Amino acid sequence: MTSPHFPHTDTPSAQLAGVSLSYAEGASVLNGLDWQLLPGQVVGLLGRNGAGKTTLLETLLGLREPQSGSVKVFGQDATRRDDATRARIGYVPQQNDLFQGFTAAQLLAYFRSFYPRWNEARVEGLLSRWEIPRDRPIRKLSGGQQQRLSIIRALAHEPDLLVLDEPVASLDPVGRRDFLRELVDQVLDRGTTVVFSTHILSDLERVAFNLAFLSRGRIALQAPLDELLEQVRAFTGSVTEMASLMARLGAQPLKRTPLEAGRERVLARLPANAALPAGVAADRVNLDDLFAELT
Amino acid sequence: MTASFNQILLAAWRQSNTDSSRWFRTVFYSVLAVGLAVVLWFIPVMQLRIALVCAVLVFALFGLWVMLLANLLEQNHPVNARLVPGHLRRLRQAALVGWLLISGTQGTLVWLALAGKVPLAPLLLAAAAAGAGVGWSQRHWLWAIVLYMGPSLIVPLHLHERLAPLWHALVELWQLQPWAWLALSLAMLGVLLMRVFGSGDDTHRAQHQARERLLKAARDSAVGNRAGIASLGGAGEWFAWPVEALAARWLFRLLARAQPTPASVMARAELALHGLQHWLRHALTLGLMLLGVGLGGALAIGLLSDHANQALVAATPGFAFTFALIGCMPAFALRNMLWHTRREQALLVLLPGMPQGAALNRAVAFVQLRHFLLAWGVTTLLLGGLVALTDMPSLLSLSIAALPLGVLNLTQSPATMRAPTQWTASRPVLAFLLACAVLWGLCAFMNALIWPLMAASVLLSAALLASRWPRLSLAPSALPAGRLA
Repeated sequence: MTSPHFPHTDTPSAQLAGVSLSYAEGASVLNGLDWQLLPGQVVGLLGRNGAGKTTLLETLLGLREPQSGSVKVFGQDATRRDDATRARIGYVPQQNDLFQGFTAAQLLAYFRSFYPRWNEARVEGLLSRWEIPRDRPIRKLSGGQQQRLSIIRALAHEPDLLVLDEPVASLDPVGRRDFLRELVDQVLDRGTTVVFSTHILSDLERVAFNLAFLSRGRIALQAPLDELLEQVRAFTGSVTEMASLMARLGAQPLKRTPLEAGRERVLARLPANAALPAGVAADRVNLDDLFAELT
Repeated sequence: MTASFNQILLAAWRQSNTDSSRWFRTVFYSVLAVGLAVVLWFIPVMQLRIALVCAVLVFALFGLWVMLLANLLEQNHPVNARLVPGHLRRLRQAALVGWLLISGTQGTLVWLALAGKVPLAPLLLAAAAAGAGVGWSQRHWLWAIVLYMGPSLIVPLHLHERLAPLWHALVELWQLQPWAWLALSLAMLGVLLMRVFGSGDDTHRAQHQARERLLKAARDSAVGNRAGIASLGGAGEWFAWPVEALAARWLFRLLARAQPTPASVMARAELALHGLQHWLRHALTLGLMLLGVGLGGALAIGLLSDHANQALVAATPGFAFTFALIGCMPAFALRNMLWHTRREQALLVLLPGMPQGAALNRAVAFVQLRHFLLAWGVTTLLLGGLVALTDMPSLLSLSIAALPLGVLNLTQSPATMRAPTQWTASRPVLAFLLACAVLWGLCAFMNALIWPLMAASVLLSAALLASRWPRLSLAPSALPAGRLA
């Protein structure tokens, strides 16, 4: 789903094609990954601990260079972007890279000087609403306040692509709710493309219209959340029964789990508007189940 | 453009203008100004006065450049380099402008100090090269060794003789068009300086992380939580490998033979309590240092066959001071380490067999004193050896000063210990240096004999121990340290 105020276009905000990346220690993190983010999409990136979510987001931003494949953001190579394109990107890293000796006001003044566009009214509004002291050194702010300041910094220049790596990890429930509201406003007001990773699935249900599951170095599945909840079912039966059922339904098996006595459990995505034949039992799945099965 | 440029320079100032740096700057510049005024008062010749002022200004500008560049590199985060428009470019421009202004001024000051006896162009080039060298030494600490210690090998390796034809050819070439060559050389140095800033790639990221690690180690060390040489990154880890391997074997041995007895429990607790200051690491570091000095001495004898003896004698006070500082470090560092391991201590006190109350206080003080006294003994033997070789008995003043200070420091109640600050962490070292200076003065100017001073030091230390040891039994339980501060 995209913002209602901005027409959907097919030109992706970001596109990764055949991206592979391994660390020097030999661990392969991304493995021929293909992924694209369309303008105005809000995508929640899901994956187990160590699945490579941070690496993927950093690669998307050009902070890591893959061994193979191409990464383009707004049509430009991720590692060779011009200033105009850089100004269209906002990033909230998992670990704060804020200048610890600065005050919030000094930090924002510092970054304001580099951007051609800066929404001062919004910055002031967020500083007040999120109760961030302007004149206290950042190292003396709480973890949650530092995280909020990092989010304000990323939103201030009104980016067209906003990348957030575990943005709510150190926020309390009220802080998370405020943040999510701001995120929704950003998408509705400006049609910003947003991608964020999180482990708090209930937050995803509030704002992430699309989910992307990262598993074994690839995007195992990306689809709108409501479609997934509506169309994904879990079937259990013998292997031969399942094969014929999938063919009959035209369903896309997402994961097969072998059970005892020649039986298996199949997680499959039914085609839109498909009706289950009479006598076929299928379990609905929730977001927790999807996370457990697909990552 | 101006706004971002101003913000970068403002940030450099803000980052260096901390409370501790303000205090240090005030003291440093006050001492420098008073010292300079006194020295100038005694210098009768005007040209010499000008030369001295110029020399001081050149060093002050060098310090300013080091500080400016360090702050620009601190701002040079790889994420900002890739994502913030114009960030990397502005940092490079700020560095380039600073480098040209500072090195230009330095070259001119040296030219003035030498009353124009040396042409200006080579002086400007030398200042610019030194400034660019600072950049590379900040990119990786190994460059500092190459750039600043490398030239000291020129004479021993007879490079000045071997490279003389090349040098003369270069000088002749330079003299044809000195300003053109200067411009070309500055352009090349400028490019090298720009490369110090990286481009936001993986190398930039690795260097930034290494830099952050070093800065953290420096900040921790300033409050008594000393980092090992592994904090210097890959090369540091390589150097630290023998120590780490042996420490790991020791840990394995200790755990394999663990018993719920006070001795076994305290031996295991000591590993956690003292961290990188554990006696085994300390002994191995001292051993490696001795090995390094021995190899360096042998190399010096090989290279400087005629002057080796004089060079070694001249270097002996430096060696002695370094040995004493490292050898007596437990006296200054162990107590601070207790503060930095207090989280582990909360678990350690629950170990079966761990002494409690007054017994724990005595056990903690005992392991610290045992470590210190053994290290002090070894250091004194080493210094004694150096005294025998060089006939400089005043070297033993280092040992004499350390003993009572160590006993005093290690018999305080850890429970009431306050969080170490830069001042409290450096205070014991400053007291040690002051005591050394007084003792050296007594020996040098008042012809005091070293052996009576040594005997007095031992007696004073024994008296301190006898008076303070019973108090440990009455003090609150030692661990976790600092909980009653």
